[in-house]
Amino acid sequence: MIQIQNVTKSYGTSIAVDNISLEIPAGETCCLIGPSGCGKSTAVKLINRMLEPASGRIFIDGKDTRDFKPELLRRHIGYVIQNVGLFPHMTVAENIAVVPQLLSWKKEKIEERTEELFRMMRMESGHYLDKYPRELSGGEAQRIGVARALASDPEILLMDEPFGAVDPLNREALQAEFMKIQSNLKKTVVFVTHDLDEAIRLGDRIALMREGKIVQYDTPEEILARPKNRFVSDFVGADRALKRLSRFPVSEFMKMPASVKVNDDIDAFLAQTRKEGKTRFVWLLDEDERLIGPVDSRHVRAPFNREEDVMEANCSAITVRDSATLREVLSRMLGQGVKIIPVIDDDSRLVGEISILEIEKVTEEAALEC
Amino acid sequence: MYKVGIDKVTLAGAFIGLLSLGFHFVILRPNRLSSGEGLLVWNALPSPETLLLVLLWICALGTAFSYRENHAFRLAPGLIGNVILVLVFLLTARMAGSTTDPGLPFLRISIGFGGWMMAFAAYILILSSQQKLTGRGGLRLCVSLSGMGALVILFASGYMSDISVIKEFSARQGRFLSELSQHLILAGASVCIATVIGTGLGVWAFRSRFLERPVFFFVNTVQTLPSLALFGLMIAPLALLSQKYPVLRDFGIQGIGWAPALIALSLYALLPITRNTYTSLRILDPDVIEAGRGMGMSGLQVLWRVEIPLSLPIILSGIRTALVQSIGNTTVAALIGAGGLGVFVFQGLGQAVPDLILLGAVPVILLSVFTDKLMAILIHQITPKGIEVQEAPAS
Repeated sequence: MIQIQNVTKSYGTSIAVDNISLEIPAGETCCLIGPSGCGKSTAVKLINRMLEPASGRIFIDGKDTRDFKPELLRRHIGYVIQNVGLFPHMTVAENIAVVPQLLSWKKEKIEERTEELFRMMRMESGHYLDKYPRELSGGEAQRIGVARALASDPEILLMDEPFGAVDPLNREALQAEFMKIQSNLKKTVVFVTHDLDEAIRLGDRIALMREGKIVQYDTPEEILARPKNRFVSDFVGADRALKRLSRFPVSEFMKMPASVKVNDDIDAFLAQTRKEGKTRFVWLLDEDERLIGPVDSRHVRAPFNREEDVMEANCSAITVRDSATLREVLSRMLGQGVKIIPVIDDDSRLVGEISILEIEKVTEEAALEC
Repeated sequence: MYKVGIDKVTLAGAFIGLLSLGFHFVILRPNRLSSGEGLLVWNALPSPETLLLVLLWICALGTAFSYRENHAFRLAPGLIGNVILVLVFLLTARMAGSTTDPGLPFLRISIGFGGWMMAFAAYILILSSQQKLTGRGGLRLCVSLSGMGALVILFASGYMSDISVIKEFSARQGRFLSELSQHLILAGASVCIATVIGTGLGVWAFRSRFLERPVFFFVNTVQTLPSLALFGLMIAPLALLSQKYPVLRDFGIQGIGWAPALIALSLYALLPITRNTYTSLRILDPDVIEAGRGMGMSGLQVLWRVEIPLSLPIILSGIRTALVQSIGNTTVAALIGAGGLGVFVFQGLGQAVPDLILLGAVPVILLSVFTDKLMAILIHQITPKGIEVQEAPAS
């Protein structure tokens, strides 16, 4: 747990951080966000004492950070910066080993930990260990940067716009990996970003800052549903209802779909469906439960003819992965002009379906809360 | 598949080598002061040896024109170059040893313009080989040093004692050694002083925006002064000082001698070292330093583990430039009584004895080349694998 109490930091006459107080519960990700110059980077640097506050105190797990030597404190706090800052004269393995070495770990323990980190990052260690930073792509370098910060398995991770300099495609991938890793590791993370979508996606809580002060500190849902004042609502934008949808994973809202396998008696199944009248679309699956395409039960007349009755062609265009959010689902629906779409897992097996009705329910709730 | 092409460096060497055949290979002088008579290769040497030299050069030309990417072709110019280099001295020495004329007891035989030119062309062939043998350390070293090594052995064995330059050397052996060590001490000490001051100035200029311009104005201005002028400029203030404080004279500090030379040489060596120190700090990535501090390195650990490994190669390449420059400049220091190998050059000029000039000039050239190579190896060894050494821009 990180407690920031009445901390102020100024440069000359300009105040960068103005009497802020913030409590970040253990195991949560707190995103600091705000317009540039709002003091978010300064705030994060105060935690590991890269900067010293003019007044106020910062506690980590109840202990005042001032009671430690800054170097010793920092060895137990992971630190990732925007431009990675890998040491160019050290190999990837040597870069990762820096903090463990400062903590005088044994060589075998460092090697073991390095392998573990690579498994966690889903990277091939043999391919990277002896490379030098200049041989890595931007995305690879930042992955190594994150691995390096996690090397000594610190409880706290400070990330100062870590994915800011990476291209959008890689950023997306890095965010997804970060979420996966964080859901396992449950570190206490302070994440500085200027990208609202990133904060909404990654943060358990968001602290919105302006001119050195914290304007609102809440869960993303709350900030989007109930902006505290004009500044917050302007910052989150007019499409906050849409943004809010990205907080909801499709897996929590999808329903069991009506599906039939190619080898089943399809005509009988369709007749039954028509009689019940509950759903219109039935999903046709192959023997391994992989999705082949939708069948419109109202239009099919027996006998069933796969070539005429299954819309196989646009099938992949209307499916979403089970890792998607409602925002992606809605965008897919609008783009394809459909009201119901199937959800598949990593092996393209059908795991559910979701209709626009469920999404409307979520947005209606938000409207009620406002 | 071998690529057949033209090897330009070997071609240049072979061309100069063939051209050198048209100039006097050796010079015969009735005594060390007279102007003498030059002989072309075929007048100086018996025909088999002449033929051998000509053939070797034609071989070099041949390999240059039909260059293929294989080891034989990488090695060939170096082998030919080394053989020719040794032959130039060996054949001259043999000729000098066998030529006796009772009428001319003080007969001197020196290597002529053509001979030196041929040796130079042979060196180009060696360099050409060296360039191509990357990644083959042992072979490369062998190619670059075998000829030189053979010459050192020939020299030490006394075989070359009949060549005029060596005669000049033998007559001044003691003096030569003391001037050589004086030369090395002056050049070395001046670079040491410049390293201390120059790295300091470089760090200073980097840290303070206010000082950056004046510091570089100063070191650049010093560099533009002709060396002779700078030596001259040192005389007056130092003479004044030593007159005022006689204590200084006890230490040997006077208007002329080693003191003004050392100061002037140190000032000269400042620019490359200051500039490279400044550049090395300039290109240090602040994010890397921040990452180091943020991971829990102390100030000293950041310095030793990050800043020095990253900037040392660049600072050292500044010292390399300064050393080579200083070895050359020290020659001029002889004019204000500081000693060094320049003594022989200026004596030779004064007495119009070309071989005495060479006795001073040739070691200076060899020293420069060797120091440069040695520093190159040192810098290569010390440079971390992950970074490329960027030479600081020339201005």
